[in-house]
Amino acid sequence: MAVLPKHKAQLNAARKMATSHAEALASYEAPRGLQSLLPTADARAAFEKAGFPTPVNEAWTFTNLAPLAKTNFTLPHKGQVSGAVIGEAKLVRDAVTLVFINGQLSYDLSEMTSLPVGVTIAPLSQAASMLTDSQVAKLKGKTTDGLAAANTAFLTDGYVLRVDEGQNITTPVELVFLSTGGKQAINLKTFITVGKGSTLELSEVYHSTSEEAYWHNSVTYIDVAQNGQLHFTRKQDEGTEAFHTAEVHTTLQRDASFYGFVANLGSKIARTMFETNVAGHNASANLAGFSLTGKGQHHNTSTHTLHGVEHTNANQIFRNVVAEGGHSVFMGKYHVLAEAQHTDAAMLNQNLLLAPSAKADSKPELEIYADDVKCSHGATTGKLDETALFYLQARGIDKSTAMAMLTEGFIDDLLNALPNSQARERLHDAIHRWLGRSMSTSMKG
Amino acid sequence: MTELLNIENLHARVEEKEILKGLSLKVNAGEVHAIMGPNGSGKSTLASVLAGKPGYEITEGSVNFQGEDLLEFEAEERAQKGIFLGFQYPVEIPGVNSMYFLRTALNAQRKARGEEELDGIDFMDFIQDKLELLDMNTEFLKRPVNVGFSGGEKKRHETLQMCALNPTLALLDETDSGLDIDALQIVSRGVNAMRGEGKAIVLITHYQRLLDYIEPDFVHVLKDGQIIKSGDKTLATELEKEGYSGLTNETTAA
Repeated sequence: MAVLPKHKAQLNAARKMATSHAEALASYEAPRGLQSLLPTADARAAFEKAGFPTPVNEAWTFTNLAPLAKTNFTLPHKGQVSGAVIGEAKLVRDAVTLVFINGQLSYDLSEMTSLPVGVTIAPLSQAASMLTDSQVAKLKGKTTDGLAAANTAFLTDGYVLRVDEGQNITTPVELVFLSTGGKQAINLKTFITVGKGSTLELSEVYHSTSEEAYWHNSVTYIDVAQNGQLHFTRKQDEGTEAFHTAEVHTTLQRDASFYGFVANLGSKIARTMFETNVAGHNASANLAGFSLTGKGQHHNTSTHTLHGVEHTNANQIFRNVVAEGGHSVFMGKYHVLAEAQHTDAAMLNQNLLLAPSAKADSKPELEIYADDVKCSHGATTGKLDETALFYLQARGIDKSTAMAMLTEGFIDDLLNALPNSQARERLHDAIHRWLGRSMSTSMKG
Repeated sequence: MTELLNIENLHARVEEKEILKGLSLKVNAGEVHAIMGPNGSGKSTLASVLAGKPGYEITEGSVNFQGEDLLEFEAEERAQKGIFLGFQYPVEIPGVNSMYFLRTALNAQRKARGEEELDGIDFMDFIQDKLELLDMNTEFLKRPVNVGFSGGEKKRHETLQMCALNPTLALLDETDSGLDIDALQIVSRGVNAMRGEGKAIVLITHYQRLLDYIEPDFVHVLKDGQIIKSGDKTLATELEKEGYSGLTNETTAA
C-alpha cells in the first residue's frame, strides 16, 4: 500500500506523541527482578519508531487513539484503596484474589491463603525464575507494535500463573487491577500456563476509584497444554476517563479448550484483542462477550484466530449495546491455513443501537486456504423491536424499563457461558445498573 | 349500569389508509361483548388503538374510559388504568423469563395504583392459584417469554397475564384462533374467572366456537371499519350460518 501524504503526517504525529510520552516517563526503571531480562531501551526505541497506532493501520481503522496519545502520562505511584472497594469490584467473591493497585501487588488487599495445591501465582517482578524458555523469549522479544513496545519499555509489573499437570482446580482465581487515576501509565505483562489435563477458572477485573485519566496497557500470554481447559473472564469496568488497551495471546495445544469472555463497561477508549493460535488437533477456542457503550465511550473488541492444524474448533459470539453518543467496534478474523482441514468455526456479532446517534462498526472476516472446512460469520445491527416494546408497555411497564428489560434480555443469555454463578450475578447486576443509568438519556434520542 | 367504555364515531388510520370509519361502542361494567367480523374489517385495529399501540392516527371521534379521555394516555398508562390487551400474536422476548416479566408488569401496575410491590416470594404465592386454574406450573415461569411456546402455550400465557393483572377491561384479540378444544377450554376457564361486577370483557373473534365456552351478553358485527349490527348471542349463531356477506351498513340495528 502506498503511503499517502496525509497518512505520513498522521504517522509522524503518532511517532512524535510516542516520543513525548517516552520523554515524560524518562525516569522509568524496570522492576529489579526483571532488569536483566527486559530489553527496555530497545523497546523504547521500537515504540518511538512505531508511534501510537493510528487509523492508517487496518486494525485501528475504527479506533482513534489520539485522545490517549495526547495525554501526558506519569509513572505509576502508590495508591491507597479500601477493602470495600475491592469487594465491590470483584466478580467472584470467594476466589483466590491478587489485587494490584496502580500495577503493584498489594499483599494487604490480596487473599491468597486458599490458593490450591498445584497452582503457583506471583507478581512477574518476583517470578522471573518461574518463566519457561519460551516465555522468557517472549519477554525479551522484539516487537514492531507500538503498544506492545510501550508495554515492555515501561513495564510496571504483571503476574505469572502456572497450573501444574493433571490438576482440576476448583477454586477460582481472580486478579483485580485497580487504578487511583492521576494520569498514570500502567503497563502489565502476564504469563499464564495451564498444564496438561488441568483446568482453571481465571478472571481479571479492571476497575478504578477515580474519574481522572489513566492508562492500563496489558499484554497477556496464555498457554493451554494438551487437554487443558481455561476459562478466562475479563471485566473491564475502568473509570470514565480511562484508557484500556489489552492483548491476549493464547496458544492451544492438542485437545485444549479456551473459553475467553470479555465484559466491556468502563473506559473512555478500550480495546481488547484476542489473538489465538489453535495449534493442536481438536483444540477449541471459544470467545464471547459484550460491550455496553455509553456517551463518549469507545469499545473495540478484536479477535484473530489462527487455525494451523486439522480438526480444530472455534466459536465466537459478541453482543454490543450502544447508547446515545457511544461507539462500539467488533473486528474478528478466522485465518485458516491450507493444512487446517475440517476446521469448524463460527463467528457472530450482534449490535443493538439504543439511539440514533449510537454507532456500531462490525467487520467479521474469514481468510481460508483449506478446502474442506465449516466456517461461518455473521453480523447484525439493529434497534430494539418496537413490537416487543409495545408488548411490555401494554402490560403497564414504562418505556425506559421496557427498553432496559429487552436490552438485558439481549445480553443476559451470553452470561450462561460463564462457569461461575457469582460472576454471572455480578455481571447481571452491572448490566442492570448500566441500563438504569443510560436508558433515560437514550430515550431522548 | 356503570359505563366503562364509550367509543364514539372513531376514525383511525395507518399511514394513508383509513381503517376505522366511525366506530361507536358502549361497554358497561359487568358485560361481555363479542366483536365479530371478516378479515380486514378493523377488529385488530380497534384492539390496538384502544391499547395505545403506536402507528395509528386518530382523525375523528373519542374514546372515554371510566370518565377519562383514553387516547390521551401512553400504552403503559392505559394498562395501569386497567386495560388489558390479549395479543393475537404474543411477542417473543428472548432472555427475559416469564416470571421476571410478569412480576415487573404486576409491580408497575401496583406501584401506579399506590399499592405495595410484591417480592419474589409473595409473587409466587400470588401466582400459584392462577397457574393451577390454567393447568400450568412454575416451570413455565422460568422460560423466556413466548420463546419456543406452542400456540396453545402462548394463549394460556396471555390468559395467565390477564388473570394476574386483573384488568377492569380485557380486550382479547383472537385469543381463540388456532387453539385446539383442550386449550380453548382452559383459556375460556381463565376468561370466565375474570367475569364479574365492575369489569368487562371484549372478545374479538373470528369464530362462533369461542362463544360456546364464553357466553357473551352482546354480539357486534364489525365490517369495513364500523359496527353494522348488534344483537344478543343468537346473532353469532346466525352469522355462523349466513356469513357476513348479507350484512350491509343499512341493516344497522340496536
